[in-house]
Amino acid sequence: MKIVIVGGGKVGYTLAQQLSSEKHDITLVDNNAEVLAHADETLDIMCIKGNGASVDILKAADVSQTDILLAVTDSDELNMVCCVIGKKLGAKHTVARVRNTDYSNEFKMLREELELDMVINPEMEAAAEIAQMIQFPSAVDVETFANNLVELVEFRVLETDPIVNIKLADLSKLLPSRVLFCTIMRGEEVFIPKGNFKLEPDDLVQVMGERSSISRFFKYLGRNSHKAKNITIIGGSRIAIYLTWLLEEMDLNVKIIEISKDRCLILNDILTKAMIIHGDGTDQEILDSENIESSDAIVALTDRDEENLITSLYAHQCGVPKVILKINRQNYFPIIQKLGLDSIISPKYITANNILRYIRALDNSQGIAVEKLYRILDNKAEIVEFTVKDSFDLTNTRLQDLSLKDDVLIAAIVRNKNIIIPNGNDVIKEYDKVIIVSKTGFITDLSDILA
Amino acid sequence: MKIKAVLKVLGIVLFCEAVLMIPSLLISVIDKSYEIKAFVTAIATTALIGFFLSRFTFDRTEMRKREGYAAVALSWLVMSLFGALPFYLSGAIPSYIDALFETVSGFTTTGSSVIRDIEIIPRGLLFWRSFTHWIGGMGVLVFTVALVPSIGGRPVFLMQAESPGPIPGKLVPKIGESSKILYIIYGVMTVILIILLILAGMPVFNSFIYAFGTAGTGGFSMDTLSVGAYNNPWVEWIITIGMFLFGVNFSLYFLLLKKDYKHIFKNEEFRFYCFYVVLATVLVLINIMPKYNNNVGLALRHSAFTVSTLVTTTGYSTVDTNLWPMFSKSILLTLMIFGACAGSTGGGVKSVRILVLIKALYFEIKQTIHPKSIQRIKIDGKVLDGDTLKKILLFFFAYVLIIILSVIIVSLDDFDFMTSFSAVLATVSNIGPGFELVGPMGNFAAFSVLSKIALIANMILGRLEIIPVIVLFSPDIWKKN
Repeated sequence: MKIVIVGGGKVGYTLAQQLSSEKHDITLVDNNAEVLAHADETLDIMCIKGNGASVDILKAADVSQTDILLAVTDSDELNMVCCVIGKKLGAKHTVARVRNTDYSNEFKMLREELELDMVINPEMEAAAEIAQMIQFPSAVDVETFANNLVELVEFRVLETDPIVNIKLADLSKLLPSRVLFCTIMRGEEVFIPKGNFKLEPDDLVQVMGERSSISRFFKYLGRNSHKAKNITIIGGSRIAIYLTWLLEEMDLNVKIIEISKDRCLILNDILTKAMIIHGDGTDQEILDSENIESSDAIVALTDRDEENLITSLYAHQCGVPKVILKINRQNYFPIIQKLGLDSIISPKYITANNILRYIRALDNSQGIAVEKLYRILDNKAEIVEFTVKDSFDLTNTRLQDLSLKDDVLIAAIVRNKNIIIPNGNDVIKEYDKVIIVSKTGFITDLSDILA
Repeated sequence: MKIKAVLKVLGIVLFCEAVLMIPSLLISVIDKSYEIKAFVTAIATTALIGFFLSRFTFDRTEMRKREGYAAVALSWLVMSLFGALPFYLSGAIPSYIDALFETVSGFTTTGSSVIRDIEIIPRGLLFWRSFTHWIGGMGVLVFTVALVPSIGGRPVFLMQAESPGPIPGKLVPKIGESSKILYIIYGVMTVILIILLILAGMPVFNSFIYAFGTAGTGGFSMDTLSVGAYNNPWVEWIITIGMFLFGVNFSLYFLLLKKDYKHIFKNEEFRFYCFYVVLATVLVLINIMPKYNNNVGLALRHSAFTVSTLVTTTGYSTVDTNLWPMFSKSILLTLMIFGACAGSTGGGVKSVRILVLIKALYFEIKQTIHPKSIQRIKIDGKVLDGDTLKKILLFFFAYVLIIILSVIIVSLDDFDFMTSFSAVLATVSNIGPGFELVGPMGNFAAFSVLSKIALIANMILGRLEIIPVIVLFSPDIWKKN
């Protein structure tokens, strides 16, 4: 597909990188020559310097022939104007990043009146993910598939867990409920496990299953599914506001520590119930006096990665059961995970991922479609959801008779709202939703799983 | 430097070269000539070594700028070393250095020759010799990138190092697609030229040879008298216009296909190129008129042909320019430095660089008069950033430096100044013949081995625009990481 990306910041660059590696034709528009020079040297894309909302520049980017126009500059208004003009010039689909809280209730209107096909708000999406993490405190990360029927939960194996050092094939007989071990990350390496795989302490594991099965599984592990009640947020950024709204809907107590007095006043204006504390969230005295160890979860959301890291480490040391931190620079991820902090949020990364998902869905609107795609474990593995159409000719074949590629796993089949965690005797039928876990990426069609 | 990444590129390039030798082998087979065995050996060796090297694997990110540049410079060298095999093995050129000189001259589209009697060379070798022009004109790496887009992980550096001009631009987002479009335009234009030459009365095989030389702006011919041997005004005019068109930036032809005529005529480099071609033609015409008994038609034919052949750095000839007045020779020498447009198959400093240098000089003078004035050099209405200007200035300095050093080396052979200087200029600008001993009717056979090596280096330096080659001589690049 022909894709024009306006704005070459982190999101724009990540999108360009991912989409160009998937063989799309990418044109990147930005005002900053340095950003473009970097993109031009590292990616196989076309770069155009100029204002993305100008008709001339959009014409130079050949927007009339474009399938998707992505506006992801820093400015909401520029993104909107860019999409409106792009649409008028003939772009088939337009996606705008809009992040200001002022517009957050107007997305429907924006979509209808400005004919935007997708409005994406990174902060809101990040907040939604954090809220989900708080709901499942024993998990590192939670994703849902097949209209929320299937859950994918990430957790870290402890030495005391009863699942350590047992072959997965034997383990499945011991477990109280049917869950599937999808991926295991050990150190930097990612495994798609087979039956003879043994778990070790400190592995980062993703299991898939129905919600009830998963909670029974966690009970078996002896992790208390103690519900969080008191949440402390450090830093009153936009994410904090969205998050507070979500958490208050869930009836939780929220406390926000923010360093700037003016910002505190604004927060107090917008957020009626939450307690706003004026103070430095990296200062241990403030944290102690606000009784941090009695919080069920702490979320570090300041603008600086380093501050978030320090605060989180301190909270982790104080024994706060759930520590979530926002990190902008992705190359920090492995280091931070080594420190024992697993719940990391990166809004830009989430944005890029959501847009990618949208584009792939568009790209595959015929034949067998990728309906949902998740990149997990540092992009090293991905989970893809397909609906089986008649163009897949191996329906009704037993799975053990299919010769699958290495590092590919059929994780779940959803048939008439029933979830099948498949074994060798199960078959794929038409209209099933199939969830595939794979290591290498580039599964764009169901038949790609076959060797 | 990650040597594996470089070796893999070399392997793929050699493999392509082996395939590209096959048409020449076929011609030898048809002629049942003595060089069949030489071709078979050369193809087998090249393919085998290429295949062996291309087995190397490397991580995508290992191809950085330094690996890209080194890969291009080494590719050109290695390709010439293997491309010389047919000449040497068949015995048509008994000395390997001479064979290498001839091949480098071919790939770099120079057209300087060390062969004293070209008319006894068999057709298979003639075809290979001219085909190297065609391959070298647009670039081997560009060709490889079109076929194997994944070749270098980040092929943009390969393109940067190989494409002539200060700011190589892509035509479409994907580099592989861009190369394909370039080669399609190049191929179609060559085919049209071949057809026109045949229609003008040239034998079919000769049309191929001259079309390859024109398209690559190389200049290898198959007649001692070059194009002059046909004494056919049609042929001469077709080649004149052909050379001029192959000296135009190919991205303009892409605009032509997109029917974007406005930007073509507004293109400053193209206008500047047309300006000095027309001006030089008129000046030379006036200067040589008396020599041709004031026959305007004939004088125009010769002046237009000679200007076109030297400005595009092709190097064909219709007359012996040694007999022309000094003023004309000076004009022609200037054109040899200027060269054609960036992004064409021509050599030289390139029109756009000269244009930028002239503008920079003009602004410098203005700045002296109005010290507080703010002025930035613009090309096609776009501001040229300081970094690009710096690169152009340094390029020009490096170009002059290389000419000076080479003239000093070549002077060891003790030829007259015009011979030494024009030999160096003709090789570094990839033109072919110079003046006096190395003039259109002469050749480079008389030079010593040392001078030939210096001239070989000049040709590669000129074709790759110096920097990628010089990078190879920096000790840093050979260090592991």
